[in-house]
Amino acid sequence: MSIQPSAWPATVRRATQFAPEGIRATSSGFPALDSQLPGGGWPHGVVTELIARESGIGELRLLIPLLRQLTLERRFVILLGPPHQPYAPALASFGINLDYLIIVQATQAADRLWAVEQSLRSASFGALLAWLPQARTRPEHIRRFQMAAQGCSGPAFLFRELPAQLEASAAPLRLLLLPRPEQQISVQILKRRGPVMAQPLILNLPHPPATLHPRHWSRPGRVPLPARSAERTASEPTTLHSGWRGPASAPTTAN
Amino acid sequence: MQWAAVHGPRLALDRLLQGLGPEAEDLRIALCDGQQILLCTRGAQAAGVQAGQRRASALTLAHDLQLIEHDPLQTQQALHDLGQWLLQFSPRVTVYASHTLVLEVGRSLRLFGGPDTLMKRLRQGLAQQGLTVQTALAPTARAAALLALWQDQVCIAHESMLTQALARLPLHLLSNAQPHLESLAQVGARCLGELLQLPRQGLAQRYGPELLEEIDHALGHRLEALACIAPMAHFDARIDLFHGVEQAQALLHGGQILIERLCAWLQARGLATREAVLSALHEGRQGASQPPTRIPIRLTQASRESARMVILLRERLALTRLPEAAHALRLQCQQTVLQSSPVASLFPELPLPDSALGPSSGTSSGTAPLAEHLARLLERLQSRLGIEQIQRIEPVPDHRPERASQASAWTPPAARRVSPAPGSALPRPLWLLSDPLALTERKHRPYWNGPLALLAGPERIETGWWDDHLVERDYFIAQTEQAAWVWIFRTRPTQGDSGWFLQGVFG
Repeated sequence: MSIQPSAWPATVRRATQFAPEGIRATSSGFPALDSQLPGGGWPHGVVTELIARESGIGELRLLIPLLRQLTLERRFVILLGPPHQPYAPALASFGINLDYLIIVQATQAADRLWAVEQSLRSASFGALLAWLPQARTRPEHIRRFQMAAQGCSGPAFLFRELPAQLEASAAPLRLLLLPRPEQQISVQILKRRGPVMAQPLILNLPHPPATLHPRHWSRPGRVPLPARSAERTASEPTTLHSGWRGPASAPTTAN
Repeated sequence: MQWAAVHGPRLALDRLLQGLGPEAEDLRIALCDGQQILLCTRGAQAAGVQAGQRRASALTLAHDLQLIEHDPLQTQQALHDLGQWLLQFSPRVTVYASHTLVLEVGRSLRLFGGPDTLMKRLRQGLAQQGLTVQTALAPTARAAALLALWQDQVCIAHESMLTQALARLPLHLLSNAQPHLESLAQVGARCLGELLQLPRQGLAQRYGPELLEEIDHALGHRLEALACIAPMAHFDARIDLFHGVEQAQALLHGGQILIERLCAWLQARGLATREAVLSALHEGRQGASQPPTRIPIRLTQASRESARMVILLRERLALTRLPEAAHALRLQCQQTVLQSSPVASLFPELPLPDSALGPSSGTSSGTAPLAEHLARLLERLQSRLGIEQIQRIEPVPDHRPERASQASAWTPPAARRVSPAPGSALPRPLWLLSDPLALTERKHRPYWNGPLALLAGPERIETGWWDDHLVERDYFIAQTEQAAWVWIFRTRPTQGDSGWFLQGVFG
């Protein structure tokens, strides 16, 4: 005798199914990723852990479509404790409205954890990107953050370092990010409210806009090394930005 | 007209203990006037000490009783502070007697939502400041003051009910009846009702016209001229702490009271502020004066909401260390802006839960509360981390990468002229290292956790000769062994020693 599916409460699901409808989410901008995330995007009201093998492998570019959409909707994005200084021209060239980007610097680990909890409690952001100090973060902190995030109306991301993947975590969504050649990133879903995903997703990272298309770039390693001497003929620069040196010549950009 | 009266029977003692919080009541402290006990705390009462006792007998009952000589100035100062605080409810506040204030609230009743709500707010505010008071509401100032002296929380709505309500009032409360209490008792007048039975003519002849005048004022037969107190021109208030406080967090209670007073003053004058400075005053060791510890409270938007300032104060106090014990607190507010009261809507609004605001409604109806929440969050972050730690970034038209992105203290978005960043042929990284990292070189190749493969470049940036920050660099995009992109440059050999540096990560 089997129980009729219709008799189950709405919160019960099969292990092979996604969590029931009702999760609010914002599209990640990657259809392949959206289809694997419960709710069809980055979920609201929960903390999402992004575990990157090392910083700089494309973990920020993965969120660029989200940041662009939110800042254009005039919703604020908080960058809390970023590892380096965010570079305004590059962010602006991706179409992000910098007026709606708030950068919070907190060098002390205790201050940063406090600031994350305060931000989650206030629930006033469009998205929160927080870099956690790995040495000071304990599983109970993540549980606190998850509790605090429940009123949020936007996604909250916690960036963590590789050792965190082995720790228990209260975050309902955990992603492991690994670098791939050719400007791709491998996204493995370690935990989600849905079936276990065996294969990692390979996503193409959004390309930084530039006047020179990468098609015209050299293959890796093919760029000739500049000569050690001072001669200019060794390798002709692609562009030349020169200061105004005389009355007749304005700063020029030559391709 | 409706008058509210506030009678503080133990203002001097309350003022003394104000900065210490409610637990100060358990200490055994008494105020004495020469040999007689005037007022004492509940802790002292529990030991049997009473007002009116001799000093010696009180000390026999409680050995550890702390006796403090009464200073009439303290009561006056407390009355003045209380008057300033009451100005938030009405512009007409009068010091009526040595322990009593009256205020005309007839015109404020509607604004505060009726007499019950008004009196509740008033009493709550006073309790928060640690003041024990009796209040009354009546159509005349004299009646309100007498009722507050007699009973607590009496409310008489209409003049026609005055005679009846005051009929049982004991005569010793009337200041002009006090010399004649005995002869009044002999003619059978112990309360006001009985006095009013006597012929008016005879009363004036026998006890003087002042008594009759006092009764007429109380019953509203004659109007009374009252001098109103004026609000302070600049806010500057202080609280003495009964004993030295060494932990900054213990200053919160006193600071909270001062903030309540500041907000009442701002409300009375229709102002708001963005900055108030709390100072902890020290006595200084051996005559050497110790400068006060300044604890500024800064808000992102001008406000007169006390709860908001108290949250910030709590954060500031957690970071403050006192060089020595503080014996007094002082709150000053220099800069104010005009802010009118928010206009209440004519029709009742449906309450909207803030958390239910989705992203779709966030742009239209939900913007205001979200912006408000955000402003509060940023205030809290600023007060703990420092104002310059909350930043916004903007591109600056400069080819030097370290100058092309400028971080400054965060300000709300305004209609700014957006200066377009100079276009670049090669992409720029999302992360910039604050200081370029010098790279080693192996086999003539830059090396950073493994050899770097150059993908694109060089892009020459050669500029800045005019402000002594000359940059002559060839930039390359390189790929690490882990397939991450980095932005590196090589200084031109003309600048002496050339070398490879890592300046950005593409993220």
